[in-house]
Amino acid sequence: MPIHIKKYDVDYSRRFFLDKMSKGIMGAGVLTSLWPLIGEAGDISKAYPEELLSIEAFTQGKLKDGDTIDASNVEIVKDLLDPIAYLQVSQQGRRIKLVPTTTDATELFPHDYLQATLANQGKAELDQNGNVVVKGSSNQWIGGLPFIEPQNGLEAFANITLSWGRHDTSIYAVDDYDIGPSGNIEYEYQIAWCEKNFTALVSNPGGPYLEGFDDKLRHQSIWFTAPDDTRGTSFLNIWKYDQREFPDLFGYLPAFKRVRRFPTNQRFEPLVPGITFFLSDAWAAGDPMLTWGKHKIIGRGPFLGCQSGMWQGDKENWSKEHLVHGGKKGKTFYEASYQLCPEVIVLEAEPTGFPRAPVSKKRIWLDARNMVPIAYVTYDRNGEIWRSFEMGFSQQKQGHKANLDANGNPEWSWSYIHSHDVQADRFTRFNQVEKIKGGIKTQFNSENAYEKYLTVQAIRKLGS
Amino acid sequence: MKKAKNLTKLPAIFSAGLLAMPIAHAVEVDVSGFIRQEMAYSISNDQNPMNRGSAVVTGTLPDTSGGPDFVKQDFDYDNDWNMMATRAEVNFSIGISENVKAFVKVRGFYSANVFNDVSVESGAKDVNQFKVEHHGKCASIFEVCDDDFMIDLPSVYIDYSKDSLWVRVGIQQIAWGEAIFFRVMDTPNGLDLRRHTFLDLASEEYADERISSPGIRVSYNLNNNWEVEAFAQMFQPSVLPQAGTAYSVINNPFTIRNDIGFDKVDDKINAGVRLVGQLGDLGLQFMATSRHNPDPIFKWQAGGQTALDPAFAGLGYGDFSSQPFRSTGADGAIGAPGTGTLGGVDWMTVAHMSGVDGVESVNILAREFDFIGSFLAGQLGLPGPDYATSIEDGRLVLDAFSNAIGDMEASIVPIYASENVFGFGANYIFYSEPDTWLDQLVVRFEMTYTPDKKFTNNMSRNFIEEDEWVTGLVLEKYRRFSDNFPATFLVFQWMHKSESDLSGRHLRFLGGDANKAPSGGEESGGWDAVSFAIQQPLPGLIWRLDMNVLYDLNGSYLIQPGVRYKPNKDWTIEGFASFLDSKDSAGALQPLAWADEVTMRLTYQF
Repeated sequence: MPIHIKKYDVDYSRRFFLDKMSKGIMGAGVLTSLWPLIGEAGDISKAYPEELLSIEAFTQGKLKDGDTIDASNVEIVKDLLDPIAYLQVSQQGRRIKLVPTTTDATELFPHDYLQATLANQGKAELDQNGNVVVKGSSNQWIGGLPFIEPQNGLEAFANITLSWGRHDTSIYAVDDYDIGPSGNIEYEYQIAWCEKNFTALVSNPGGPYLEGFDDKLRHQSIWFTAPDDTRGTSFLNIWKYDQREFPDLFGYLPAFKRVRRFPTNQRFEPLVPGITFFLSDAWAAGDPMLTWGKHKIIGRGPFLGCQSGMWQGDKENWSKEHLVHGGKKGKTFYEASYQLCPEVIVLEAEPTGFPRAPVSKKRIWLDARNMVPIAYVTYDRNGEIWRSFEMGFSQQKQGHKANLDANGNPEWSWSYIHSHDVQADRFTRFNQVEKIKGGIKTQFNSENAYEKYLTVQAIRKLGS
Repeated sequence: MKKAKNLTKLPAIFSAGLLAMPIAHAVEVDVSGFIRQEMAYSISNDQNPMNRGSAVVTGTLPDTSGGPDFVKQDFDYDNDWNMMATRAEVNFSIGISENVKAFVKVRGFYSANVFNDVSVESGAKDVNQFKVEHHGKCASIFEVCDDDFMIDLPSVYIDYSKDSLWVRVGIQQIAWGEAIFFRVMDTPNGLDLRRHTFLDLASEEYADERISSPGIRVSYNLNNNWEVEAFAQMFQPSVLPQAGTAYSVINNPFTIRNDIGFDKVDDKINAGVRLVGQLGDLGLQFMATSRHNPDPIFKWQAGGQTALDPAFAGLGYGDFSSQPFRSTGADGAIGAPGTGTLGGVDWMTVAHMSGVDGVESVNILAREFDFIGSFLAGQLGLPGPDYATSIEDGRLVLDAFSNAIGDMEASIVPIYASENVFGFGANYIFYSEPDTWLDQLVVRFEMTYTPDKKFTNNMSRNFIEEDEWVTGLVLEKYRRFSDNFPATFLVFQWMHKSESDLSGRHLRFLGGDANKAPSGGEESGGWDAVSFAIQQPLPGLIWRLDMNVLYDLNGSYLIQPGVRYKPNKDWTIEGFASFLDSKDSAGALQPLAWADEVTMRLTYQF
């Protein structure tokens, strides 16, 4: 257990972050730079004072690890929650469990992605169009976080856009539950999601690029395997590397029995009834980053978010049903494990490429340790807060159980999503599960994913 | 009650397919499905003119051959409900191994006894809605059916995929092209119109109607942008609504001899190949199919009513039974006395409603059946080869026939002509200034060319044979009109056919009536129709509003507003109205112009 100097109180940290923002200093870390520590041993403890690594220290003993945040004590940490999470806890019966801050950075990344991030640090820059290239060249990015210490909002967005799932290939099996204003689960879907990068690869023996996909960033598909009326509905997004361009969108609708090409600018609407998930939401970066504008960093500081402890490998099909609680009927929220994240970068962007988007701006809280969006809210055209898209991340390790990668390292991924439309009071929760109907299993870097799930032929085949 | 069964081959074929696949791990079976009540209530004062109970021509009819007026009984049948059906579909998704999956869909459809045609002898009668003499007594190969129900297997297939190869073997639907509702490149399968014709929700296209059959479909990704696909599939004809049913388009006295027509092609294989790919932002498709057209063309069949041969033997025109007509009042008729076509007005009216030139069809009967040719020349003084040259001549012939034998019936044989169809399609998405109408406008274009395509020629055995071009243009656009509502989906389509209308009736014979010869449509350069569809989901997609309009430039239309409500996972409620009309018999939708109705569907899924 590292020893921390207590001379740095909460006010010190607050003043430090304000000073950092005012001076435009964008390096991560308070006591020392964060990334050299991650590069040396993965231990981030020396980068932050204790009050930024311990909720007990931060709240001066009012809360501690193992405690539960609920309506009775949420005011203590109101400033560490996004406004919708605060609303959920203070008014809708949500509970959040406090767990220790993760100080071992290797638990915050897939192994290969972290290695690529460390190997390639300092090699990225934005070209004149705003796309990420290898510094001094026009080559596409070569893997890992391109900007470990982003100097502006666009660089920060690049970190969450270029590689969503931080694996070269990810297949997610998802149980979806959609809760209506009554508090009942009104809709349920089983969703499969597959994404495969063609550049910025980190686990490919052949290097960072996949031959034959020169101008493409990724293929991504989403398809429904249940219930019956949506089974077979499939969409394929083909992302260009140039982030100014919209993806190509192909869809298979069971009624049409064929794949058709669709316009791709309707990214702020649910794909199926009752769900509050939009294509634009994915990873808080569901649209090519240059189709949005006015990216900016508006703040830094500590925050609460889910970075550990949510993988339920001991439960059948990784179920989180035992964690469900809150809302009008006790069916709305997962009891998430939040930790004090010592430093987040608060970003905003506006949908400048979507003049009729119902969204006026989005605000994202990026954890400086691994650059994932631990909180994300959007505002409507009137500037009123509209929706939140909360992703909980976790290493897939629980006691002696673990989901291991090809080299024996525990996998890492998102574990749950809470998507809440507070204006319509509709709530969607996703649980990443082991498998869903249709034989789809959560897998990373699996072979043949491209042929099986990511071509026009594939989505035709998935339909029935 | 005897039930037609054709399921005996199914277990053997499916089991053999499963056994042929390597079993790598436990087979996983997911079961899902739904049960749905479907109801269509007539909101029109009109009834189907093709059925005897609501025949278009009734009452006192003049006899221009000099006899007393004909009297065709008017039953004035009034059905309020066009459909009251219960449908159940059960789907089995079967995971066999990493590369092998199977899928089985079982569909059951029961039609309650809410629609009756008339029996001349005994009043109301139940109608046969499903029995068709294709495969045994049913339409598709694995189907159990009777007058009021059918259970079939729209899908029973095994998928094998490895790397760039995908093979689907078994009973399957195949849909090609991108145009919706207008079938340009969608040539592989015919349509089964027995349940609700094409009056289901237009936005569902032909999901329920496209008729499947056993086949093999192979697809191979040549590279990241191009895919080649081929199929070979057992020939399966389209199925028209049965005579006497709510949506029948065949005039009641005429019997389609599916048994004869289909027997000639029941062992045929339709095949096709297409190339699909992207050339930059341009999507392209090229296709060719070699097929027997599942949509039939018709010719007369000798009636075979030998009971009247002696009565006409003295005229020296040959055997009465060698020509198509049968007297309903004599032995050997299928229908009861009084169910047939009676006189020239009845003939001309119904012929023109069916896309048949009432006068020319008389001439064809005379040319192709010696008995009739001799009768016209000898009895009526109308020599060939152009026996009847006017509506009056035609009416005279039929009046004389009816005078001689009373009301008449006949049989026609469906022919499934072989043809090759070549097609080309392209799609392109325009990008422009955001928030302009051109931005993200999807344009699709399709075109097919069928050389020497055969068309019904007034039931002649010598079919019309002409090259046909079919083109379709589709414009699609998502447009958000309000911050408070999801984007509106707008689709405009235009279809052009050079020789025939929507259902394949040659334009030459459209537009006539009891007093007027067909005006045709060839002079105007072909048949054109436009459609416009609007789909407006409400926030959350729980409610969806639809408006579909099809306008045939020959003067018919379908307007279909609808609403869909999905309150939860289990239930879906849909309501839509169909308004149809046609200014005359030239309209492609004229056969269903009477069918204004409101449809409700209540679905529970599991």
